[in-house]
Amino acid sequence: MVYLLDDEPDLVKALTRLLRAKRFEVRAFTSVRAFLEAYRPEDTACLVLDVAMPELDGLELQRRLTQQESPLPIIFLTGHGDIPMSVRAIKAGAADFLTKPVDAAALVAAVRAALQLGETRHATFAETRTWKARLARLTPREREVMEHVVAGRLNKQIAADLGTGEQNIKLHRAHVMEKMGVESLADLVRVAGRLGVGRSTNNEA
Amino acid sequence: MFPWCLKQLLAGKAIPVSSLDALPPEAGRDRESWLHFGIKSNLTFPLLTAGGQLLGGVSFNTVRKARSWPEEFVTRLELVAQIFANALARQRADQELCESEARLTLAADAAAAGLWRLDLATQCFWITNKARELFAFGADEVVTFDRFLSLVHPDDREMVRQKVQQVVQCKGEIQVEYRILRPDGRLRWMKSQGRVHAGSSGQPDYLMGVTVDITEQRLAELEGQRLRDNLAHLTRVNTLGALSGSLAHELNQPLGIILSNAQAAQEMLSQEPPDTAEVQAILTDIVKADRRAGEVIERLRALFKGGQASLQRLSLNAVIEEVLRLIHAELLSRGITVLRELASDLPPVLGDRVQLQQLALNLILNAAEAMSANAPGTRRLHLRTMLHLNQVRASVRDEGEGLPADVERLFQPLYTTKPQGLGMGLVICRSVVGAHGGRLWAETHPEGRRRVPL
Repeated sequence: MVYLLDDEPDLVKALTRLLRAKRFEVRAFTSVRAFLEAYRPEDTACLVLDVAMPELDGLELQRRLTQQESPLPIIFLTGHGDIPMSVRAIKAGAADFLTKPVDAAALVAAVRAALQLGETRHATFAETRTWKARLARLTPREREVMEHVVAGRLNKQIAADLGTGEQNIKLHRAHVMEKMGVESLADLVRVAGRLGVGRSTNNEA
Repeated sequence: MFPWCLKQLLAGKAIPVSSLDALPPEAGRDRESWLHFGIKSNLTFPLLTAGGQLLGGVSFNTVRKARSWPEEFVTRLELVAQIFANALARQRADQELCESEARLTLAADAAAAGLWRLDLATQCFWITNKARELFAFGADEVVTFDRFLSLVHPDDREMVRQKVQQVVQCKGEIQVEYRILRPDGRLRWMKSQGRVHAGSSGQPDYLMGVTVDITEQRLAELEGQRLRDNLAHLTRVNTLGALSGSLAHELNQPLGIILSNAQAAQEMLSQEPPDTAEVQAILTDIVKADRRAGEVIERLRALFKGGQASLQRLSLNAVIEEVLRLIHAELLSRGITVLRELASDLPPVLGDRVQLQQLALNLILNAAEAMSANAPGTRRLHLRTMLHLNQVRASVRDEGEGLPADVERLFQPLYTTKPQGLGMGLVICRSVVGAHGGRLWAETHPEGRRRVPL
């Protein structure tokens, strides 16, 4: 799915025709609000966005989507070849940056790449969501033990820290591995890194 | 020497003295003088002008013996004295006239002014040498009114003839500027001023006046006008530079629409079966976008062309909307929100569309630039029109850093707060408003504000 957002209705119409002729599924909008109402993060999609939207700066929309952990890759369209703006957009994770008038081949290539990126991000985001759900099933004690484990501490040390026996820690640790669905300590550390567990003590729900 | 005699003369009296012994006692001093000169009897008359002013006296004396002055004799001699007095008075008047004429000619020459007198009966001119020089008349040439008219530029000839006719009819004063074509082919600007003098019958007698060559002054005026036009043009070019980004956008938009539509059409035509209905719709849109690009260029050309002002009734609101359309992209890229408060009951104003657009454009761009340091979201531009005491008022207000304490400085030439500013924008704005019979001023609200009543 390609979302198209530009305040110029005639341009939106032309780009929609072009992309549909290239067999893309297109949903076009001329206002940020209409787009936000229609947008569903679970779709595998990309957004072709005019930098200069009247109600909301394109970069600002990008920032908000990122904040909402949206996996949506954005291709920016700009009227002027504004280099500082394109640098900021790319740094903030834009998939591409095209100047108007935009050539069909360049747009199609960018949209294909962005959809690919969207798919990858989608998979990653889905994985992350699964892990978050698993993490949420841990008891507070198990969560505590997990933080110590991924910090590289030995069972004996953890037991001493938490004022309990080493056997108890071993049990909690087995539960953590099982509930998180990982086979090895290495996997657990990787997942913890993705979820931000262990970096600070209580930042994840 | 003759105090008593002088007293008598001043009183306008003739003094017949037959014998020195008959003199009254108060004439003792006069008596001594006569004795000294050996005069036996004397007859003195005052020399009086027609106005009664004493010019002097004329005396008849006897030295060998005293004699009496019979009445008849006195009357005849009095007549001689009168003739003498008149001759003397005329001579003095002539001399004075000569002197005053010389002074006048001197002054006129110094001012490079030619003096002339047109005898209305004969239609002939009396003119000074300077005037002959100005018009390149021959030294002894008889100059008639027609001869003068033949030198006047054909385009001005009828106007000069009519003005002279009018002034003769109403016996008033004339002031006329016209061009002449001298025999050497040079075109000169002349200014003549004169006044009709009526004769004793009250009929217009002659037209007298002065003519100066104002060609240099005219050229200087034209040069000044040309410089002002150039400056206005320069300011427009400067504005054009400031707008170039916006204009590129304005043109880019329709071009982009055309390109994408055309490429979509290409794609559709390569498919089997081609969607001819959609291609038809695409072509319609392409034509529409092309017209739009044409309009952008047309608006620009209208906005930046120089030339004469042409007054017409127009809506100030429409002028403002037109300008906003033109710089829509510029304002957008500067992150500026436009808040309109345009009165719907505004009567039309008489003005030059292009000049008023340039005015609005300048003020709006100024306001936009004044807010470039504002945080995003606080760059609000307030445009307002209203009817105030039968005057149409428009104000452009920004929320920038405000105006200098002495707001009038804004309107001084070469004063600028902008690094690339010429310092002429507001000067020209004010002259435009002035030319429309309005007033442009600036005031500090909580925020900056500029207002234009028309």
